[in-house]
Amino acid sequence: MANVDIHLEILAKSMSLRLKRHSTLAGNVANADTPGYRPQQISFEDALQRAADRKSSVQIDNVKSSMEVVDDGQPRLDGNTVNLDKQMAMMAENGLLYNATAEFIARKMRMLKSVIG
Amino acid sequence: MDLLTALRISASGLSAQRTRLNVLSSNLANANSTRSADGSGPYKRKDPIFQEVSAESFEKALDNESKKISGVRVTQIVTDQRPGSRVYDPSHPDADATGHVLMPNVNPVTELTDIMSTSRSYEANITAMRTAKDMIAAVLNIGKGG
Repeated sequence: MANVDIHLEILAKSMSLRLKRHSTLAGNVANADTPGYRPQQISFEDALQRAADRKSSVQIDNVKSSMEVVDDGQPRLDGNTVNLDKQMAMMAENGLLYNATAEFIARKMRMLKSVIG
Repeated sequence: MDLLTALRISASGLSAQRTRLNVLSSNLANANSTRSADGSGPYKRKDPIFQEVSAESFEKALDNESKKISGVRVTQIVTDQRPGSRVYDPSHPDADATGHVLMPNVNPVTELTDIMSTSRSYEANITAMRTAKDMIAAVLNIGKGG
């Protein structure tokens, strides 16, 4: 995609990063009862924003997400720090934004199509 | 990282929670069993042990981050060795010389609350799966409606 539309690339990149975030959250939810498990969290918004500001498709393509352990609160007796409600809320938000991004891409495609005729 | 990894991770959660539910149901069903299957005294309650398992085994992970995303599995089912209560019931066939019967170490209330918590965790994994399904549907819809 050589500069067809920089926004399309930003949208596509954010979708793949959101997918990764969903997998991470799904892993946290699956391990909500695993002793000693600590939830992982993915962040990419700042890196993507910086790349988007430079309007360089190479930099957008190279945006990497960073993953770290973020405790949801005090550990339970078994050392697990997952707060299921918090994870589910983040997952719902992430899913909605993912679907919205897909919708944006679909609309952009329709616009391109109507321009091409 | 592909679309199906999230589904597999949630599926591993579902499978683990279902195993846990089976174990807890077995505990509850045997709350009054004074004979275990191998004949060694009363029934002893079982406990499933969960362990996180790297999502890497689900797919060939190209980047390091996928290795940190993990599903879950039941590694073993351990037997709770705490002694059960002794109940005086001389007419019971399993009563000892003093007329006491060793009862299982199962507390139905604990098992029931655990079953409820298992059910909630199961639902949470279902929701995660449904979200992933909606995401896949959204992607497939991009190509449609031209």
